[in-house]
Amino acid sequence: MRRLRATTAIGLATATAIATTLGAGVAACRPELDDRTFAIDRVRVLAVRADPPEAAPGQATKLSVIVADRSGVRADLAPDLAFCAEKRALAESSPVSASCLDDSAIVPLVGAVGVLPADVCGRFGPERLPGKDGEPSGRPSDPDGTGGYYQPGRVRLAALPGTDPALFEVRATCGLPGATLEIVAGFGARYRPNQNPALAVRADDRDLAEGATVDAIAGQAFGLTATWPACDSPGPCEGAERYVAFDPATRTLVDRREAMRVTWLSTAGTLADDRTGRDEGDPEPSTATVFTAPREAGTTTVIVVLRDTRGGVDWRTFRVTTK
Amino acid sequence: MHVRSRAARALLCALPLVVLALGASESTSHAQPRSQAPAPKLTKEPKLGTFVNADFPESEKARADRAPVTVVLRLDISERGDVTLAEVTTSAGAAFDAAALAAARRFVFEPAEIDGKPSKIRILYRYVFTFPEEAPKTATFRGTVRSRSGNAPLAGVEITLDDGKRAVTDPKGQFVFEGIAPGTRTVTLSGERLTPVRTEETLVAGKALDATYDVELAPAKGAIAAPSDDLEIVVTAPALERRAVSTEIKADEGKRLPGTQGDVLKVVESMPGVARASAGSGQLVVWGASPEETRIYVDGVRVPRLYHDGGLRSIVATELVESVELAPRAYGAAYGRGLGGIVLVRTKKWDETRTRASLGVDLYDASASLRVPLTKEIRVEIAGRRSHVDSILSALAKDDVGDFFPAPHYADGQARISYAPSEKERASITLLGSTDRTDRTVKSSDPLLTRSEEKGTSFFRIYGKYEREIDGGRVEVTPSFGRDLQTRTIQLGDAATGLRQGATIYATRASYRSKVHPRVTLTTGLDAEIVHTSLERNGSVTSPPREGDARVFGQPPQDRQNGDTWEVTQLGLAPFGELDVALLDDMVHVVPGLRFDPTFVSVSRRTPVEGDTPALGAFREDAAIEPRLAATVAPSSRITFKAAYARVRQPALAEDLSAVFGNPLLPAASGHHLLAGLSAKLFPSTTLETTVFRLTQDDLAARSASSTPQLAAALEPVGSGRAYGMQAMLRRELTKGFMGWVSYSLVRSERRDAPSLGYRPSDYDQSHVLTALGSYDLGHGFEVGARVRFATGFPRTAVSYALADTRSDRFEPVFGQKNRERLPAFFQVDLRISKRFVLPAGELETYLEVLNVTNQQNAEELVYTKDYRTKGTLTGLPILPLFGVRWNL
Repeated sequence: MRRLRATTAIGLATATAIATTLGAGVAACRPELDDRTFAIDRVRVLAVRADPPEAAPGQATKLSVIVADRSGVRADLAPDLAFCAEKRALAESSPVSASCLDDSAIVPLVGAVGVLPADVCGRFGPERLPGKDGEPSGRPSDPDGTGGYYQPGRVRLAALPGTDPALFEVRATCGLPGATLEIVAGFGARYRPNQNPALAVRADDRDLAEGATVDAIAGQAFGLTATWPACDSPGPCEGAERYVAFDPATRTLVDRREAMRVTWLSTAGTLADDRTGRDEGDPEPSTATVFTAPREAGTTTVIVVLRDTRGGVDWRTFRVTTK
Repeated sequence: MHVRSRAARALLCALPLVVLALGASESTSHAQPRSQAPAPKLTKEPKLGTFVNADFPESEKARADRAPVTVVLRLDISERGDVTLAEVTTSAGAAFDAAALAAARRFVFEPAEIDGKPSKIRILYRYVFTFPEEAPKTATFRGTVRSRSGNAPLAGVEITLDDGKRAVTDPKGQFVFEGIAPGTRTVTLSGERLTPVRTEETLVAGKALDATYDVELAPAKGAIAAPSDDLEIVVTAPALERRAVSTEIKADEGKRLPGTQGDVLKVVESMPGVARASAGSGQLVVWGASPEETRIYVDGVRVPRLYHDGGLRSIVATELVESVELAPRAYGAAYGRGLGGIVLVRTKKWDETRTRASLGVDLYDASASLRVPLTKEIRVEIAGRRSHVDSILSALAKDDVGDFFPAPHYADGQARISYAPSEKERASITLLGSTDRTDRTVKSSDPLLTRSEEKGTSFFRIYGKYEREIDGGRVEVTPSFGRDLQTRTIQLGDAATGLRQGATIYATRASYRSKVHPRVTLTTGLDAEIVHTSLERNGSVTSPPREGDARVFGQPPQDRQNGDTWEVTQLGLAPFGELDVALLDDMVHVVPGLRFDPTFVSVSRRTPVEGDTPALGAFREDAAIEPRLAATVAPSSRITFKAAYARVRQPALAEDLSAVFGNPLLPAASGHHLLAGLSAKLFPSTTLETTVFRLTQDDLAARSASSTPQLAAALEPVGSGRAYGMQAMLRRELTKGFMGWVSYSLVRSERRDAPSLGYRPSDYDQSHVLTALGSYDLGHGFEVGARVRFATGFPRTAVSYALADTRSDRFEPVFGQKNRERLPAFFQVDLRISKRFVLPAGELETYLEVLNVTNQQNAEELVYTKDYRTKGTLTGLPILPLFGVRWNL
């Protein structure tokens, strides 16, 4: 029995060692990768805004693009915009059809104005296109989490042919897939197309107008707050709008509110968060982070992009001059 | 047969012939003066051309003296060669004389020649009768019984055959039975410190079977030894092979091997042909098959999984397990409905008369078992286990550990009541249950990037089993009922992906096995299964990913959403039959089998919901005959050649039969298995097994490649697969305290997503897998073991570049060719040491396993930064000691 007790004691000591090893060691499984996306360290297409952000088939929408690099916003790089003409196949792993990326099936947009195709709700929406030569009609597209359908498009920077294209989408006002007439009627009566949100930015307690300049000393940290209008009642609003959506799982109409997310970007310095936001259950019309000015003197461009979950976009830029 | 053979006949022809001048020569001597004519000269001896067998006299067959009997005859042969006169000159008795005369009169000779002319002649002919040899009707069975620890011969062990014959081992541990009726005999070993154990041996008439039994004795009073409930028998004599290629491990061997943590079913991970699964996946990948293609059976009852989440533990308590067998492909006709291999878990037939109990605890979980004999015939067994690894991990590890390796919560339990009125009849009812739950939440400052995931899997089976030996045959009937429940939800921001499916399973497996001829064993039966599944799914059609989907670890699902609710009823009713034909004195076994497996599939919806339109269901019937064939040729007791073929089918998965996410009209996929191999016994306890194989699969469900897929056709049966390779295993049975094996698999598994596309490596292609493991009994209760594993990494699809998606504000990867790069190779060394202590009540076993003793940083996954510009590897667990303790009564 003496030997048994000794062994048990050894076991307990071993167990303690195990616990220590487990606690310290498992964390080593995760690689250390620099995953900060706020830093604009190369030419990037940051956002595409459609105005209006949601359009009916055949309706035009004006597209604007913000492009930036280390030097700040690059308004000189005229973006080449095009709508994709084909839907991505289910077997395709790319986010859009390969025919859109290689420009073999695109609709170029002249003057940054996009007119949604008349059959956009068939190609990319809930309507079933007629089948070919007696085949049954095809599978409709699935909506996103807000019940929306989108016309995809791609942006190229013609002046910089080596850069990868970016993608954008314009929300199309379409019907509902497989809903009863009663639900379709209810949806038609209650649904309001999306509006772009309106973003305002404050640095500490100072409201920043578009293109404003903030003076800072090297390494100084100050708070940045993004705000948007509160939307207390249903109807058009430039904040987190309320809307009605069709839930494909329960096949009922549900009342929802847009979630809002803010992307924080800068050409230098650091931001505490790449993204912040409010989910649809949180009506607070603001979100904040902290910007730390670079230690070197110079001018930093900070870009704040606000997105709602139905495809609405707004952005603000300002400069921080570090001394 | 009365004269021994053709060779014997030639010998008779060569017997000295006494040639006499007859007939013409005599008359000539009277007609001509002797001085005038020269003496005739025999220029050619008569030669027997047609020999006739004499009938062996019936009256003489029973005589005691069985020495050869000779009758000497005088034969007159004409110039034509026929026998004109036959007389007995030396008699062997009236019966032999008559038989010899009757035969000799029908002889035909090539005539003799005198002076160059055919002539009459008289000869003496010796006819020898040899008593007919009777075909052997009995076999000899001899062997040696040894102590498992140390291989010392055991005297005084009683060996009993099912016909009541008994023998007791001598001081050398040897026993012998002579004159045993051939066939499959039940052999029982019993002794003072040996709980009776049984096995079966197949005896062949006219042959001797040598067997060696290594048994483990109950501890002598005050000694340190294994618990008696672990008594196992290791038969080193060739056993009847039911599958051409399979690996079977007994529970007592398996639980002592490193890497198992005392859980015998985890030894399957180390078997040849099994790929190393990704850490935490618990998947079983056999010869490159998808995990869902390999079917798991416990006592013939299909269960949905072998391991709990994370692969830390199996779903059946080791105390109840008799053995586990993996048949990677080309198994017999009794099993089907799966394109991959089968894992057969056999539970123990516990026949003891005293109560047994166990308690165990280690880093993962705590377990207990109790086995109680209520009466001489009725026994009750119960076992259970519950995990606590999640509590330990959350208390000790950093918060973000769960982001990558969510700690599982699991529990399982088993209960059985059995009734065995005799050795030839047994009935039992068993309940198996298992539940798993895993959840994690990865928070983010962006609520739309907050990710939460919940996964739950549970099942139970209740089954009866009735076994009876009837007139040399064996009947088994196993009806079962069960429920499977699986839920999985992933919430990423406002995008939800969920799948919930519940299945009710009614099944019956019945078989009858009997010798229908001394050389033919028939197995026939029925494998019936009805599965009714209710499913709910919402989320992206491409999430969760399927085999072949290009994806990155941790990649958010696409934000396109849909939902569906559907029900599937699948009925399979498969009669099967198999013959085991023994040829050439058991040297060759040919096992043809046939399985007719019609399946009926009913789906509640053929198309997605369309307003108030009533649902129109889909019905599909697939019927096919699945031939199976296995053959073994054993030209010597050391070498066996094997080959097998099987056609198999697998009904479409219920989750693929959605009108929204899949295709309700998917047919069953089919496949062909072809393999050949060699088994060579290099030493009495060391065997080398090699197998080469080629497998094909057709009608696999694959995502539609059309940008305008048809309604309710998100999946199409256009995929195909193929795999080929080899495996080798050098295995040493437990001898002199050591057991282990070295196995190597070379596998190429490929898939094609559409006929117009080329083959690519499948997600489960792991080209090289090398495993070496061993366990050595040091004596005094100490045992040490080691396991070394090397495996090629699984294929992955490289990210070519990434696109900024300005609406979702995230980067989306654009992939290169599918599965053209691989994870780095895996290498790991594990060590184990255990010690057993005898307590006043029962025994205590402690073990320490150190996993990854070299602290190898094995890559488990490729991970990327959010913009996919930088790549890293997620590594597996570092060096990890695991301590466990178990008390057995």
